[in-house]
Amino acid sequence: MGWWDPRVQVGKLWLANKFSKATQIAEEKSPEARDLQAIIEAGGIRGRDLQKVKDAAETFGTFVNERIKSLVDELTKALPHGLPLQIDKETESAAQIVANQLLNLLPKQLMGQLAEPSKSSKPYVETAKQINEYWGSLTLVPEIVSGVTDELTEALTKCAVAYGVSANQLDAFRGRLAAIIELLPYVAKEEDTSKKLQVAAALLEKLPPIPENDQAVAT
Amino acid sequence: MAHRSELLRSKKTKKSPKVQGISESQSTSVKADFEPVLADLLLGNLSLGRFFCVSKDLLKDLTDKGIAYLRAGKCEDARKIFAGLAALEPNVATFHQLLGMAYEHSNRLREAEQEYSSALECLKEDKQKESIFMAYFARGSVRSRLGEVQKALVDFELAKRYESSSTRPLDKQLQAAVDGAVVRLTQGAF
Repeated sequence: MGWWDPRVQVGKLWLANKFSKATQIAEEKSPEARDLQAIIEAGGIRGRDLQKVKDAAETFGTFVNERIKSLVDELTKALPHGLPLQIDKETESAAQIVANQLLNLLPKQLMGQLAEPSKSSKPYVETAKQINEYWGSLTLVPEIVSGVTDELTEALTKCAVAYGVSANQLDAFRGRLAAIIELLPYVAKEEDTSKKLQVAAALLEKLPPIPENDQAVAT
Repeated sequence: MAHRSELLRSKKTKKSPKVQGISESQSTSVKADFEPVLADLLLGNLSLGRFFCVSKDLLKDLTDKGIAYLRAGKCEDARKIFAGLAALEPNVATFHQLLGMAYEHSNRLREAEQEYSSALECLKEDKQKESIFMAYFARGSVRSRLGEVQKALVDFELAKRYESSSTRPLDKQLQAAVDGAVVRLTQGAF
């Protein structure tokens, strides 16, 4: 059963609802069951706590609601796989609608989000265009990528010092560069962006190392 | 743009490449203007997507490609694409949400939860109720898998709060499906 099987999505929801109700019943029906609930709440329903839950169910077996016991058994079987237990056809049909809607809606939402100027980037659009013209267009000639990145690295390093960019911030910048470089195999080589991603890769190599402590880069 | 031969000659004769028509002194002045912007690039206030002027069409194409990988079960390819897109444009919620899905599919639940949280941070409450609903729903699902039931239920409750405020027909269909599923699941649990 794969991720896109709608039963997986609905199964997770089902599990959450069922489990919540189980703890509620445990508290109401039997004082002893509160111990089970305490264990459940303390350990959550993570795999490593399942044995504790099972042990508790056996210990308090005569006091615990039969349905809670069966729930614990079901949880034990289901949770390691993260899969739903029983899904009726009606629910499955509804889940299919949800899954399909999600996949259809997300790309549409994307276009709306891209159409809105980013709140933080808006003031820089024009300058970014100038920068792109100055450095970006040159990257269309692969042979001079090295020269571009040398100059860009120098400018960025200078800015990092002048503006007191911290090691953490520089590390985050490196992380973003590393992430966009992974797009390279998925971008056509003739695309301008492909060349720019190569600049990003070279930048990542050339940026100075991060200081060990979290002080400003300026030294 | 300068011709290739001129650019190559420029590289050989000068330390750094120059755009045609920009003199050495102008170049220095231009670069000085860039400094605050470059600083904001480092600080994350300017996105790499804007800096490199990546087109919206390319972002859309890559998104479609990532979704195709996700549908085909090629999670690692999908993850790389959505992680790259989220790094290019960190303020676009959809990239975080799709990256969350890729992580969730790979059973990397903490990272999925983090991406759904990032998506929620990007969304504007007044305009994007539908997206907020879906992000809460997704995060709630992840949290239920992590065993954080109370947190999950809070997310589901928040999702339902936004669910009720959408008005478009498509949204109503989605709302009806989720509401119906929740009711049946709750009733069928015991």
